[in-house]
Amino acid sequence: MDAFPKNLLDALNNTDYDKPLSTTELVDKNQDGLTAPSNAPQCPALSPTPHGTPQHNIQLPAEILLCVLNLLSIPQLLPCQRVSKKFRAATRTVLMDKLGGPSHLRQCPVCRQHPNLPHQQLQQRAMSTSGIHLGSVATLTERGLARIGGGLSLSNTSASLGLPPLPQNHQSNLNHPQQPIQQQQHQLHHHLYQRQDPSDTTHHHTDLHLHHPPLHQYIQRQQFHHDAGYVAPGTLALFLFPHHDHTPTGWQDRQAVHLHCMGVDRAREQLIFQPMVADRDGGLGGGGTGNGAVLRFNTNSWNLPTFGALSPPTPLAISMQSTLSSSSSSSSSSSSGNSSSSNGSRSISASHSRSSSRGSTNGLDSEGQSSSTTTTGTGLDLFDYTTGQPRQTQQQQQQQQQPSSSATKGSLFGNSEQSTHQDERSLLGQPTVIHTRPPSVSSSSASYLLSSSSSSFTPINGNPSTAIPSWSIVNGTGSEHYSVIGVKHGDWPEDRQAAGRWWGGGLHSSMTHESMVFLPWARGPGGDGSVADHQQRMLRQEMEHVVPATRALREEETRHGQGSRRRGADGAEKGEEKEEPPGKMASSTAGSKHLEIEYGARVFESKRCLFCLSSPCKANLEIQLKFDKVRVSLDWILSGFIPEVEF
Amino acid sequence: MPVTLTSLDDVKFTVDKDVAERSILIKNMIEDVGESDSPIPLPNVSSAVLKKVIEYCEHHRNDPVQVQDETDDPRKRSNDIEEWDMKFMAVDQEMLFEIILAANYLDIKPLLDVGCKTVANIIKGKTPEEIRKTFNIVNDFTPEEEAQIKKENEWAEDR
Repeated sequence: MDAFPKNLLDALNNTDYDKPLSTTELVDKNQDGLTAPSNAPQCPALSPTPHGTPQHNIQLPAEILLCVLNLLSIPQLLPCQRVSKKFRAATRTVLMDKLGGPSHLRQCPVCRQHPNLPHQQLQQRAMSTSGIHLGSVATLTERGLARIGGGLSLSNTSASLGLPPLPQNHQSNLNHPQQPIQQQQHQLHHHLYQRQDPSDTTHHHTDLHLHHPPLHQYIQRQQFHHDAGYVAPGTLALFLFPHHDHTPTGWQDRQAVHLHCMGVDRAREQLIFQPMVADRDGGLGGGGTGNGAVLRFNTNSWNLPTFGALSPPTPLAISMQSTLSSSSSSSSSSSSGNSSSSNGSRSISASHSRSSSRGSTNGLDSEGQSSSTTTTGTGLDLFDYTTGQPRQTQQQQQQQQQPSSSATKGSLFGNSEQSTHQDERSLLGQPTVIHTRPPSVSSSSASYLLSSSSSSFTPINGNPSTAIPSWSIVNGTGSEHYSVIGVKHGDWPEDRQAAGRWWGGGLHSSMTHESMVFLPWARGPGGDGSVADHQQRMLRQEMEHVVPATRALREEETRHGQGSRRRGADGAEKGEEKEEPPGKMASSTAGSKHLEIEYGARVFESKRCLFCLSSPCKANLEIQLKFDKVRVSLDWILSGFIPEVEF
Repeated sequence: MPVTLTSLDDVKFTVDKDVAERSILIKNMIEDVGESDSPIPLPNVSSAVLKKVIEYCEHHRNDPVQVQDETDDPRKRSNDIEEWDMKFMAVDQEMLFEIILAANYLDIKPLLDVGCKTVANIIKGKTPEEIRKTFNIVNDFTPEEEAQIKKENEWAEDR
């Protein structure tokens, strides 16, 4: 009998169980993996089989642990986060995959297409009609974002869901005018990020996307009608309401930008959402309602401030489908049989009164008064969705704090009572509070609200705010969440209106690239009551260049994180300075809940008012917000979009 | 044509080629070396585990080869296990893990999948403490960290 070739023997002998099949930085090899204890009792799920007494613990390598965890649903994964640090790291790796979806199914950020779908299939998707559209959306949902186990299934139709029929105008435009540019961008993108095999997981720690080969035709697909009320599960939508006092009952008037999860930032444990539709008019030209990634509002249509009055905020609602809770309900029905309270999903809306100071170009000072500056800053700001009132001074807010909290509390209790109505589309009719949390969680949510109005926003420029935001659970339907942020203009150029713009001299400000980090914190019942000791949010605004939102976030994390989660009386300025010990896993501490919005804003003057068709009309001056990217932290998603409470 | 496999403890198993080639590792080795009577050493698999693996391969010798796309399809990745496989996996934890490791080593993906599903089913529905106890995992969280993490996800876990 011939001896077996030595090189093969060497290869066999050198085989190491610990060698991972894929690169993952989060899980060390064989540490804290699943361990078969030497004298541990047999698993109840397994029938006893005599097999000797093991002498050493056996550990599963990291890649197998990931495979095991990948077979669990999100609710089943949540307890795994609490097993051990390494187990938590592996669990969160899988959670990111499930929430963000398989990397090869994510859309290319340049061409908005899925990389591994046949070109013909992409065209069919793009040209789907309304009847097919929901299926297309559901397909995207299942493959893209609702892979967390819930959401709509393919069998769901708009009728069965009680949703309004989907609109017709989502046809694709196969001849995009910017095709050469897009092709160049795509080629550049391909050059930078080489096409990778979908099965290759070695790049999971990066934020790269997989791509299909460059297409000959750039297909611009409009996935949604932007006024449609439907938000696909797992999709994030930014809604711009026409009037500050409009509750979601006025949704028929809103503009919307739908964002799709197109990436996962594993290092920061964030899901990255980008507009699902490339801007149709190539940026910010034209008028009308929001197209693609752009929201527009002007004096007539979108509630810009009147002269001599405080600037009313225009609320921007961020809606997310809670596919997670859907999967939870299905899971709970099988495991505990107590799914009645969790049937459907929760509807949570975090409301905030407006933060005042956000920068020198804001046009609104920290006390909420109108400013007379003439800069053209625009931007997002928080909005008191509870009261629906324009921004108020501190005193006014303090005076109304108690009624607001009471109203919110009542809404919470109402939520629990009306938890069985979550499937009704009552949101479109009246602001019925719907909340499907179990009572225990509702109670804890109530504790948020009782003390919720004690947090503050501190902008980066160090001007502490004295605003008193409040949290509330507002109306919702189905599995939608509404975190409402106001859209405010900075300083509406009143001076220019008076000076000369009435007779021409078109105003066309340059784009201001901004980013905002939104930290939804609320005070716990044990707080000291100071309104300024919570840094709720950081704003960053720089003219003419994009501010990396990561800077703001990292600064903020350095200040408030560090495990102790203490925040000084003036928020960021007195944050702890000590560095996180090197090598300490970020996942070992509770992640921060935050939302980053990268957007551009500018004032734009259309040639003619869209309403009166007259040129000398202030309505042809509009503010345009172009959203580039929204980053949502994994922890905020897993928490159900509730504010973080500090005790 | 029979193929001889040698385990870690030098126990020889003679199996049919099509059974042995359920293992991609062995299949590649046979293709590389060619027809040979020499036993194939499997130094990382004990005889007890190898016996179980061979039992699995013989039972599934006629199964179609899994396509990669199918295995990635989430709809086909449910934790449902066939009855025979479930009985096959009804072993103690040490043997279960040994089988998983051997399947990984021998590159028998269906067996690896069944093993992972079995472990996933064990984890399913358990509390963190139960998971620790089941798999002998040391809790290295500080009480504060554990409380914080628990609080973060309690809305979903308490259902």
